[in-house]
Amino acid sequence: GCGSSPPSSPPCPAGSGWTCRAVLGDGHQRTVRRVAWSPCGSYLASASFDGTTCIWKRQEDGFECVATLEGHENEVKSVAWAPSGTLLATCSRDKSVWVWEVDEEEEYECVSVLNAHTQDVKHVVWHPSQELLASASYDDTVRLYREEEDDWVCCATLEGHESTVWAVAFEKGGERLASVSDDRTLRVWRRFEPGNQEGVACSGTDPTWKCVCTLSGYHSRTIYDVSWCHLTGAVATACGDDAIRVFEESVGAGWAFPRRNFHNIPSNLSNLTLHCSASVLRTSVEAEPSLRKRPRVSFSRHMSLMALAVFPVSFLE
Amino acid sequence: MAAPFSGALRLAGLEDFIGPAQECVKPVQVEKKAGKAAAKIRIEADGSYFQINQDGEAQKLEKAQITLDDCLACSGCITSAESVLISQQSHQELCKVLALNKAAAPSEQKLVVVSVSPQSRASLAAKCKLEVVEAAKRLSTFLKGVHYVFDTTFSRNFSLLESQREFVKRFRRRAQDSQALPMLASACPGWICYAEKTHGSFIIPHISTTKSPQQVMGSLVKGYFAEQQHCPPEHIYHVTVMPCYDKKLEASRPDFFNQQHQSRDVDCVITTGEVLKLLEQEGVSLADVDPTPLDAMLSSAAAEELSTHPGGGSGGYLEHIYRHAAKELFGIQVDTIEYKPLKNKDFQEVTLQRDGAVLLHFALAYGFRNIQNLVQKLKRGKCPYHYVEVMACPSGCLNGGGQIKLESKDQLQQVERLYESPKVEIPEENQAVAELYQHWLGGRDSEKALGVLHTEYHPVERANTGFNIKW
Repeated sequence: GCGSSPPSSPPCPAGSGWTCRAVLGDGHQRTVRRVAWSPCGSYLASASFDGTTCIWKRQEDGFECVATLEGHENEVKSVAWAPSGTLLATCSRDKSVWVWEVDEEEEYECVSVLNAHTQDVKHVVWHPSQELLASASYDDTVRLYREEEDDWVCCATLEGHESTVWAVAFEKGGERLASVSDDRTLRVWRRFEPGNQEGVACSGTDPTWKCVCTLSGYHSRTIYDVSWCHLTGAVATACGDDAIRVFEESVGAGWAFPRRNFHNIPSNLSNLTLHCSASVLRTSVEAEPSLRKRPRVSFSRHMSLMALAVFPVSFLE
Repeated sequence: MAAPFSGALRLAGLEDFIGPAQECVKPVQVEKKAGKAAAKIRIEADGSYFQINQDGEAQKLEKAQITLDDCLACSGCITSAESVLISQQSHQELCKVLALNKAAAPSEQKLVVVSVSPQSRASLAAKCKLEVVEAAKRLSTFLKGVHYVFDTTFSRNFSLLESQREFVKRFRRRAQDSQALPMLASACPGWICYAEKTHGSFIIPHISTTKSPQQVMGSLVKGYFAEQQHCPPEHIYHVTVMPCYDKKLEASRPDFFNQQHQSRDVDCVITTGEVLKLLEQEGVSLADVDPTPLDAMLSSAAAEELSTHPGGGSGGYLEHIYRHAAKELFGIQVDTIEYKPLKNKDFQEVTLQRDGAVLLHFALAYGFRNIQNLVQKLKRGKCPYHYVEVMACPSGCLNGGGQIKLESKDQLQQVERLYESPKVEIPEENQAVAELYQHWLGGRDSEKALGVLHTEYHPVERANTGFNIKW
């Protein structure tokens, strides 16, 4: 398989800075769009515009490409590991979402090809504790999938956004989901089980997801990413207007329909780093010192050219 | 609304099979203003059109909107693969042809032949709550204006026999030919089109060259039957009734177009669902129609009874090849075949063992995810099978995209029961088939047999014309 080129600088102790340990330059023939560590930390998945997803295994002296997941018709936009570590999901401009399974012999097989979306699928994300998958698409919807007998099915379609949904994030407990869109809104959706006390109708045994909060007017451009902190419950967004926004919940009075108000926290409160790996005030780690003035979390040259926005955003667990 | 082509075909995309032609005769829209002299048109280096009026002023011309009718009338261009396929081959098209035929002069009339697949018949029988023979006989009556109604179970005998022999040949040369095995089934056009487009020259050598029952029937109707009827092939309008839309694409393959007679082996494919639409259009319930005796292609064959081939609703290729190979290669007579389900119910394997050694290892792989896994294993050299019956639709042809929609799983079981209800036929024992091999084809291994019963595949290059780029 493909290997990594050995780094030239010596390792340094934790806390004293960052070193580039490996460059995996031969795995893909086009833009690498997303990377994801497996729950166990031994594997790294990379999704590429070349249509493949590579699985890299951590070795003593670097990384080895142990599998190449082929099958998508065109650019793969996202890859995500399920919490169990034996399932992976990928999604593509070919409008499909694929679920893959890995066995004890590190063999990857396609378990399901899901054609629920009608357009390019931008992002896939797993529920934090259940084998429930969410996908976000250019078709303005978020869809949820679960296993049924020996196949996977789309069990919910979240409609409401008026344009491309770029990303989704689950709350720690998995009862709520946040989605962000080209329509400049952040929406929060909540799961209602059949027989719920709020009286929300469900069809069959599947829960219904309803939009319980729409945050509009905060973002002046497309919102590309969202991250829901599993420690504090804060929600951060990455926006095309060059800003990161952090939202916190305040409990409102009374619900006919569960509704929570999220409010915008002004950026001059500097103690709001909230375990962020990058904040508005400090620069992120990046390769080009000349650009240090502009906070930018770039992971590939292509994406940093795409928008001067902060893209993506993640919380340190 | 997009027609429900199989998952494999939807993902592969139709555009590369039926590409729009560059010779569109209506590329620009010219504004006709009264009083103007004839406009001059200048084409820039980048291909854009400018109208130059008398003052020398240049005005860029916009591309015209073209209706499908414009295109079909022109025949120099195709707007969209799907919509063309659907309009050229549909139940409306069939009605049009039948109506034209009725009004035409005797010398201009076409001989209309309909070949019905057993899967379609089972689906219709289930819907109309009839047994298959009754459904078949009443369908014959309903299709007035149609001269003959045949059953593709007959042509499937040839597909099965040829597949059996082909497998044995491949098995015997596996040491010299690394591409001989595994042999992959060829009856499913969804699978074939996907394979040609996505895996091309790697996978093509593994695909059986045997034609599908639909196309064997096409060759028989436009060949043998045409001769018997003293009717030139181009004067026969051959319709097939199939359980899926992918079969429409199969019928339009250039390999199945007879250059000499300028005639397609199958002129029109309609789905089971479209036949139901025809029935509903006429307000007819199949159960109320009087039965007509069934037709047989050869006068010698008695066609009062229907027959079936065991081995599932997709034709039974695995079972027939397995039994034949076991006998031919190892002298073993197989009675019951035991399937072992693997990851999911659409992926099953069958093993022939003797004294602990594996002699034959076959599999069924239905549905796109299983096709994916199979092809990936093949690419990595890890495919353990000698033969795989590959079908694009989960649960096989009885659950094809063109079948009558089912409300529950029980209904699919009912369709299966009806499909399996006729008496079992053994292809080797069919007299009409034997006669055709001997007298019309000139023997099992003749040049003619090869030409009539086998076909070729072609890797499809991705078309890079402007029409295909999805901006």
